[in-house]
Amino acid sequence: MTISGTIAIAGAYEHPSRFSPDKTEFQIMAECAKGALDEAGLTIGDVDGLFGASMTMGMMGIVDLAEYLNLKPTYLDGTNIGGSSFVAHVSHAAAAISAGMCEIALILYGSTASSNAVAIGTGGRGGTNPSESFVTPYGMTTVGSYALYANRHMATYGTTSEQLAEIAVAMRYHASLNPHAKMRQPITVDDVLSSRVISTPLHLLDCCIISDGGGAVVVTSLERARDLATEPVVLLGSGEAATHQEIGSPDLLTIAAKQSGERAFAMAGVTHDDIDLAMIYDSFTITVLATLENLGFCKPGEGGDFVTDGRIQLGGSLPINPDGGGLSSNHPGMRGIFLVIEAVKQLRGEGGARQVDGAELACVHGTGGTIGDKHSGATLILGVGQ
Amino acid sequence: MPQKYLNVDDVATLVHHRGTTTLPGVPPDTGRGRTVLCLHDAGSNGKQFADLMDALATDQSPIAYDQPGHGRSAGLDSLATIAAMVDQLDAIASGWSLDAPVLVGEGLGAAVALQAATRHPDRVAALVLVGGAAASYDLGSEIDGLAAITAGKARREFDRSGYAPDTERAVYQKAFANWVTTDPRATLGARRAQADWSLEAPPSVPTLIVVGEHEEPESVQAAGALADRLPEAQIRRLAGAGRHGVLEQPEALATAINEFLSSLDSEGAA
Repeated sequence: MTISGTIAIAGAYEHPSRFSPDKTEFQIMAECAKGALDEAGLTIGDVDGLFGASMTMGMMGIVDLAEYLNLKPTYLDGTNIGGSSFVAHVSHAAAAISAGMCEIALILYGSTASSNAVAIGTGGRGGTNPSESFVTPYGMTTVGSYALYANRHMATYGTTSEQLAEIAVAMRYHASLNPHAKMRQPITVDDVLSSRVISTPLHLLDCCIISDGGGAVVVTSLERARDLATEPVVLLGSGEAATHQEIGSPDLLTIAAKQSGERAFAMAGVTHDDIDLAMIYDSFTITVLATLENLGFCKPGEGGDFVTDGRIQLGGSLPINPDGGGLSSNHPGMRGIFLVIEAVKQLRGEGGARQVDGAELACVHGTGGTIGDKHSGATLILGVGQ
Repeated sequence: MPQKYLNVDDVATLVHHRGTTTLPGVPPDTGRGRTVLCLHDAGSNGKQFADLMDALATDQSPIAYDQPGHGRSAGLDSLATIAAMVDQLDAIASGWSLDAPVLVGEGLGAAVALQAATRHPDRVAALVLVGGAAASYDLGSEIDGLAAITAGKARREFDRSGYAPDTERAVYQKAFANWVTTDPRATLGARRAQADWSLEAPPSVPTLIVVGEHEEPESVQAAGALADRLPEAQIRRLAGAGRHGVLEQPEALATAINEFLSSLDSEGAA
């Protein structure tokens, strides 16, 4: 039994705000829920599966969210595997719908990271898991871990800061076409290289921005989706993975995307050449490069060359993150839901000035946690509805 | 300290006031004395006036708000022009039927206050200008510094200049807390708006220009030049203060404002 081709995304909504000091996380989620349900022609009363995560939702968070929305769902899923959570929620919802546990699944995310001045990448790490005792006391930060990965990549393959900067430049160009993006002023490779270093070799413009925001995705069966108001976007493949190698273990450059990507492509039965656009979690420029290699779009060590010469920019052979990504559009802490939303908009042809011509097949990959350390990966292959 | 959000042109604007807390959509209580509307500097926010508002609240009804992109109001960027800032002020004043408020402006806020009084002198009871008296001196180096910060080429550092000698640590802590909540991108936009502005038609509105005892010479000079251009202006020295009298000497500044407003009342009675 496979879920490939039987499940569809019927609604997707990204909150336009990038700074909402007057709102709570749940308020943002509720506004997003309305946006996604409205476009699908559904109401909150139709929802029977609730999926959600945020940086502050605790043990009972998903129940609190159900209470806030006045929902009594038959299926609850508060899986939190970091920024990739919402990509994973799509396949979790698909499994639940296929098993008859719910019919209309609502996936929600909201965050006020910017207006709460959360130091997402540079703040100290916490946690009580045993493995943290080997990392946290030494002052490791999120950006520090990604920087170690970048250093290793540079040492192993000769990847350069200029090549990483190409990714930031492409994302900013895309953001310049997105009226809601937080940073819209185009930048050059020199701008990236001359911005101050946050953690060697990552400069400020190699790092994602911090914003408020949120999003919602409605998942249902393809059969039901055909009766709804939007053009269905079909789930063709999905995969998940957890990588927990800890700093210093031998296989540092292999990230969770390798496992989750292989599974997703195999389920979808498509090749990398078939993909029209990729939505790739870009917490840092190095994240994109590492993910491209591990998903198999290029070989290990070839990522630096792959991202140059406009290949990942609109008009290139594999446009990545036409919305501007976390590097320039929005990053409220856990960006996975925006990857799904933008893929849906692109596959429906609703990208406007940033539309990828003829987009029919998208690869979505979310990373949660920190590569080079403990992290999760979730991959989806999405296609236009038949 | 009551606060509430007011939607101004789709921007959630945080308003600080005194007196009783009021329900959403209901204006703050303005039953005491005059309504004193406090306008903050670029990169600051309405909380800058917290101590001053406390001191004024016995006799007046003080209100302050965070400009877009500043403090805890929504928006990523500052309003681009002083005229747009006056539009915002108008929207708040008319939305809440604030009848001819007294405008207290610090730095950029002083420019907004002057422009508002120029636009409609009948709707401004008086002006109180502090913190560099509209800072008509050169803003170029500050703008260049902010541009470097927003491009990621320089670190953001708290400016401790302009304070009186022996200023207490608590004052700097308050200033830091107000400064750090605003993105330098918004501060840059607001400073550029200020640099692009000039006072073309000095308003005939009673004006008190407050100059700190330890204020920099160019700032004092600017205050004097401004007073010469305003038909109804008077200058008052604030003892023990530099350019940041709002934070450094809030009670003395409140006394000065109260005395100034009392003199207007007696003139009106006479």
